[in-house]
Amino acid sequence: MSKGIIKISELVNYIKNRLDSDIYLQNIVVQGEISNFINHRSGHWYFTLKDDKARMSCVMFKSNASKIKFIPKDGDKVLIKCNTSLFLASGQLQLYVTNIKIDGLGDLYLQFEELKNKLNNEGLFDIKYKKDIPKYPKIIGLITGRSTAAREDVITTISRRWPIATIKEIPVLVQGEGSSEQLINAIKQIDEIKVDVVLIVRGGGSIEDLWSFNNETLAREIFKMKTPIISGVGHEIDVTIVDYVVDKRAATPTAAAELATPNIHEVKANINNLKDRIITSMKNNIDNNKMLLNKFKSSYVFTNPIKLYEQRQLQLDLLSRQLFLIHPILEKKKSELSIITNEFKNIIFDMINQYDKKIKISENSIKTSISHSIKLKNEKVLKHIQLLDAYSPLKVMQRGYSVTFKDDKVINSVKNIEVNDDLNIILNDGEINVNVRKVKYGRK
Amino acid sequence: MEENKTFEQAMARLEEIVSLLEKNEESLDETIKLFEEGLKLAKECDKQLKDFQLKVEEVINE
Repeated sequence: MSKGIIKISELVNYIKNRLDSDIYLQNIVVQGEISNFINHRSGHWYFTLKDDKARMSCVMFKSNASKIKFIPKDGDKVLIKCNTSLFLASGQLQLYVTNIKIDGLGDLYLQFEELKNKLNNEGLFDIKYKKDIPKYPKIIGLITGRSTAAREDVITTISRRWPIATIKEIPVLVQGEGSSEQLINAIKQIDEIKVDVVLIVRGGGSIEDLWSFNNETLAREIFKMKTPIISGVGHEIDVTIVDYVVDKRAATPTAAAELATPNIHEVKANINNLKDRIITSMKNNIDNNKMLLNKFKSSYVFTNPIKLYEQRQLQLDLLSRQLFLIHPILEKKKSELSIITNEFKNIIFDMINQYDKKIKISENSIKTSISHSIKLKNEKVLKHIQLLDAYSPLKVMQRGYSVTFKDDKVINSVKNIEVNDDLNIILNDGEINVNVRKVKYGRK
Repeated sequence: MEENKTFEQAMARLEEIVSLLEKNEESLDETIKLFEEGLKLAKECDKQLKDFQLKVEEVINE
């Protein structure tokens, strides 16, 4: 806004806007005493709220005032719920009241705060003691007033959302004399029978109306419960000790019933969804395993198992080939050896044979020659003997033959003799010396 | 195959055998044993899968 000259309406409007947008001035609860109370014909209420130090104008329009069950009067100590704003026409700062409660019960609030703090300090409200609310209760325990709107709300809500649940009901007094005791007994009782979750509910009301829910013994009994419990007491703004100690607090009975139950249509849809998912995942699982199995099965080790030993076959072939390469060489050597051996043998045999033959021949020849020689010699000897015998001069000479010598040489031809040679003639029984007178060739 | 092998165990063993055979480093004797076991396992797994599938169909249609 400009700092120049401004119109009053602009200023008032500006102030109003500032007030309206300040959260600390809106929807607040203020305590004070009523004065100058006017119940206008129009149904609006006008009054001043004050304490010993300050005061402020208040207005409560018919729409809100008509819901209040009592008519305030001057001097009443009250709590008001209100918004702070400016009435443009008068420029007056006012509290626009939406709810009003007698604060004559300041004691009750004190007691409430005291008990709340005490139990809180003892840990009864600790989040760690809060039990989980079952999602799908089969049996729901209900503690509420007989034929109350709260009961109707709960029954309707449960049968709409979760009709398959059974409701075990313990009707109690929810306000007035004896109501706390009935609530305590109901809590004990319902915790004994098997229910999945307990609802403790009642409709809204003043702090006195709800007072039996601020009972210490009741709070301690609820704390001891084994069964999870949900509260739905009063309206949004009403909070009781029971609301702090239960496992879950709902703002209203209907909300409590909603917290206790799932929506059967959602559950069915979820079941179908889950069913579809498990079927799909099962099928996927099977398909995946099938693929995996096929992958294994299509491995060459099964489709082409030859490869498992092919390599070894090749090795074997290679070795065989090498063997075959070596084999002919061996064979050749072998045959060479055998040839050489044979040749050698033959040579040796030949030589032996030859020598043998030679030996035999020699032997024979020797034998023959020796025997021949012997025979010859024998014959010769025999001949000689015969000759000797035949030619024995003595014998011849005995028969009248003689031997003629010339110069000691035997003369066997007249050619060797000449006339006048001196010859010696040997006779059988002596010799004669003669002189040659005549030589005549030829026989007589 | 041992009787009490689960499908997962059979599949794991089959995978092991395939990878052993694909490496082809075992002795030929061992290779043949593995090959035989592998084929048996593959058959068994096949059958189990088919059974599973049938069972699923049956349960779905119930």
